[in-house]
Amino acid sequence: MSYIVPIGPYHPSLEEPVHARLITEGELIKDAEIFIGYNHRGIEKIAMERNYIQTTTLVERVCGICSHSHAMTFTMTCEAIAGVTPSKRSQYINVIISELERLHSHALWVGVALHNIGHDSLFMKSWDDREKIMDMLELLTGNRVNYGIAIFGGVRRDITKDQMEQVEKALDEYEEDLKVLTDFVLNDKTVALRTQGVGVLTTEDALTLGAIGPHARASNVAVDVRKDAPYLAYDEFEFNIATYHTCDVFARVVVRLLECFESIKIIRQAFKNMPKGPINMGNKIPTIQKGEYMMRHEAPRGQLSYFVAANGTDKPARVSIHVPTFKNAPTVPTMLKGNSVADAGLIIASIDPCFSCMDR
Amino acid sequence: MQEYRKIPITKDEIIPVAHRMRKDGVILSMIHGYLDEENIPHISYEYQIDTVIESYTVVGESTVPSISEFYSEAAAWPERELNELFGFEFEGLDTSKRLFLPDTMLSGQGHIIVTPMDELIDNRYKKED
Repeated sequence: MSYIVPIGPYHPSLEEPVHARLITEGELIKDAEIFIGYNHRGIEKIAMERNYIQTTTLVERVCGICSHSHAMTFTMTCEAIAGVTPSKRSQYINVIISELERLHSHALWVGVALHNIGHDSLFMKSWDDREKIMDMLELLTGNRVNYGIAIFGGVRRDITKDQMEQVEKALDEYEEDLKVLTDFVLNDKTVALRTQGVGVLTTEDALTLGAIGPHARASNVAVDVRKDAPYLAYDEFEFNIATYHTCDVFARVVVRLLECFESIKIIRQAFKNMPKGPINMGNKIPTIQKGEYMMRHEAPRGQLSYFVAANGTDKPARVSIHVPTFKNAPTVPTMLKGNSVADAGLIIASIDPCFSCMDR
Repeated sequence: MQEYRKIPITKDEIIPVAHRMRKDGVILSMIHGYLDEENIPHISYEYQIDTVIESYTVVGESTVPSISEFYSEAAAWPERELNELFGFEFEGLDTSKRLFLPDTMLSGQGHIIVTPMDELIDNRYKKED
């Protein structure tokens, strides 16, 4: 006999509200449905009522974790409509902040995943390590969230030589901590038992359902906007796309940990090759003429896309925000099928969902 | 570097384009829609071909066929979103359940992106009264 087990909208294993309806037989999940919209704030509607400068500030508040990704992708899209190319130095600064954001986002998620499987010692280690990245972001931007770095035609704040040295030193320390954490996670029996073979999303399913970002890469699909369609100065950096073949929750942990090492590599290259020059266009605010454009950015959770339709006024006709969770959430029912109810929370969390981003 | 290429198509070309793209293994990046200043609907299908986004755009149609048979949930979710927030109709799309908005909102309600802000505020206060 089938039973419906509701999970959420408010549930201890979920950091944000979402509703999943599990159709179960005993402990086994036979089917599942997912319902979203509990954090819908009408941000796209509000964006149509504000000018482009105000909208940059607004979209930065779509998400507390990947705030820079939102503001930067929006400004990149508007710059493309206006035909403006920001300076190389500002592109490098945007790359540095984006990669630091990826580091703290992945550290946060690894902590949450470990907490979900009941391994609170490693959860606390991961979050403790993350504090070092938050300190780096605070040093470079002045804020721990909503950095306000991306502006039209460049960035708001420069990075000094002294700041670079401090961050490089902190990165060395963080890398050592990351190696310890990775070693623990990869060799821990509890982690293996709770994550291996759980929540499998095959490569074929990942492609059909349109999974993106680390979630797709953990299903052995090598997609990464930074490589596939380079933007900013990403084509000048050497880094690898981390993929893993087991397609389960364990693979999602492995991929995110490996990506942290690649991000550290990118930040070091950016410091080493940082070009000289202006960081923005000063008082020259670009005019955004009538036109449409869509830009993509590899945010921590995957491809973030902004579609802006400009009508020649100071307010956009449409700002359409599509976030990685919107693409990855439809894969959740497929991953849940055939697993036990006890793993449902972990499987939902394994896509690194951001429901605030998704609902907008 | 990323490129955005706009290609105007008619309503009848939506299915053949989707079929060709799916057959070629092209990723559907997103489906966008909006009403321009003259209230004319624009619906665009953004296909991701390497560094280029090919945007197949239909103008002036608020009812179009669904491409969810080719792209499964990757098309169904954006279509459901446009259906709920704009009221655009997608023939063949299952809209029996709401995606973003509460189940209690009946069909025809909740098109917040196209409803003027004043009206939304008035409705909100009316509800609270």
